[in-house]
Amino acid sequence: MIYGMNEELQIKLQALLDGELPEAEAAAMINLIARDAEAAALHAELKNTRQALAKFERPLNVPEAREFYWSKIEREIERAEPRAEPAPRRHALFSFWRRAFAVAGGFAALAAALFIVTTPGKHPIGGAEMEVAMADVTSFTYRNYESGATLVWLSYPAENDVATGQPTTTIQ
Amino acid sequence: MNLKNIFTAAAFLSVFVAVSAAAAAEMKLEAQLIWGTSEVKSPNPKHRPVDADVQHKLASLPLKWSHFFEENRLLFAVADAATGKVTLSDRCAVEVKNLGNNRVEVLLFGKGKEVGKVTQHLPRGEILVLAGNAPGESAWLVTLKRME
Amino acid sequence: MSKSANYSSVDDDKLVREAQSGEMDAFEELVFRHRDKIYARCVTMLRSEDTALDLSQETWIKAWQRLKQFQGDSSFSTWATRIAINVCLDQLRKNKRQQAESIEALAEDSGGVERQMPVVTANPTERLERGELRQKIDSALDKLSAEHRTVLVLREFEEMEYEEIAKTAGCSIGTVMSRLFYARRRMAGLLADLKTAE
Repeated sequence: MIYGMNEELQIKLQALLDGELPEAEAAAMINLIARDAEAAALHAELKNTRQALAKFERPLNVPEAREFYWSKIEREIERAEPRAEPAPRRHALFSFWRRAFAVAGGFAALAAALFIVTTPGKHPIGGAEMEVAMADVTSFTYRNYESGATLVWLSYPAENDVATGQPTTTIQ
Repeated sequence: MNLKNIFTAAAFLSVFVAVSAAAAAEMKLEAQLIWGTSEVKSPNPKHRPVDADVQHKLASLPLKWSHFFEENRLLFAVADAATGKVTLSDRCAVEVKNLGNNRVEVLLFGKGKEVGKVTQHLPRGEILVLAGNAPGESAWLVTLKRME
Repeated sequence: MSKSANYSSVDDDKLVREAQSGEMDAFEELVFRHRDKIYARCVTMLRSEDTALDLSQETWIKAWQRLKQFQGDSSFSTWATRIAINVCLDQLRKNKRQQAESIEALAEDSGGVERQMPVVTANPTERLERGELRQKIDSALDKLSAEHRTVLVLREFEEMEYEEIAKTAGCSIGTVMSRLFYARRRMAGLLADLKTAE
């Protein structure tokens, strides 16, 4: 128990430790510590606790792969910002094919339309939109444009209605 | 306008019409139920590793598992504006609606309950992967690949 | 080759300037470099790894939106950490509105409990192995109220002065000092495995 010291003195001991006391008050508290065992003990305890906390905060790593962690951030940033139309690519194609079919004259526009309509994968590809039906499930979407793969990850507990844990069905 | 130009115009038009019709035609899809794991070998002797293309696509995604095994694979087709449903296991099914213009709406069912719905642009050769954690630090994946 | 591969050897200041001019890949590199620190801070304040993950991502979204306001008065890491702290405090305030006041919270405000605790003479850094001490600190932080934990984190881990803590936490300097005193005395008791008089 700290009998002799009132609350104000105790708080001032702490402020001394934190470098928050004006010079004159700090000097007074240092004198107190030198002559009062209780004050010295409390000061030492506060100091030890501070040292323990300063040195031993638990280091932690984000438990997700770099791309996965970033993909949600990027998606939310883009959702909040107005998006520019990816026009330049199309215009480049349009003007190329227009030049290529310049000989056919009036059919150049049709050819360009043909190209845009029929060539797979040249259109801007929108991201998957997931509506989750279950209250305790959230989803994250990641798309790799190069490989043509879209991942929708459901943050579902491992014991869930989809996973079997021990897969048993055969391949057809 | 001479005969040569008329024939050229007709050729373009017929190709245009044929291709437009193809775009509106049925979608050929491959649905797979896959088990993802860090283990090199699956304990289930009926499992086999996924094919190279699926492996390559899964490897391009930020998944921590490096080995994927087919539990089930089903090929099916869905006509324009139609819906097809396939059951991949006693727990898992997917329903796919062909929305036209290379778009699909996919419903995932777990134990008969709807888990979620995804609307996705899915051109030929591309894959949509729905995935989540499974027991034993593994993952379940339901893939839907648009076939050529 | 993607730009992110090229940014790995660029310093933070340059990355910030690139990001401020709209270069998202530069910002992604900053996120990658500092994400663990932001995440750890959120975990320490919120005591939930799942919530901390979500709020750490929210922090980065806000950082991107406010990036043009960053003048370089502090390091980018410190600036981002301040955003994280405010995001966490908003969450804690939201939680508090949904929960009843705990007895401990009431006791702390009356300033009674910590004056009854015996002084702890043993130094925990000498007495305990590093791993054990980390675990004890972690467990002890769980036992503090959100208000006590906040001032302790801001003082001990962020090295903020009392005035800045008061401004961040939205309370008076006197309250900061009382809460900090209580939090430290409680931590000392928990690290020494002492039962507190309540």
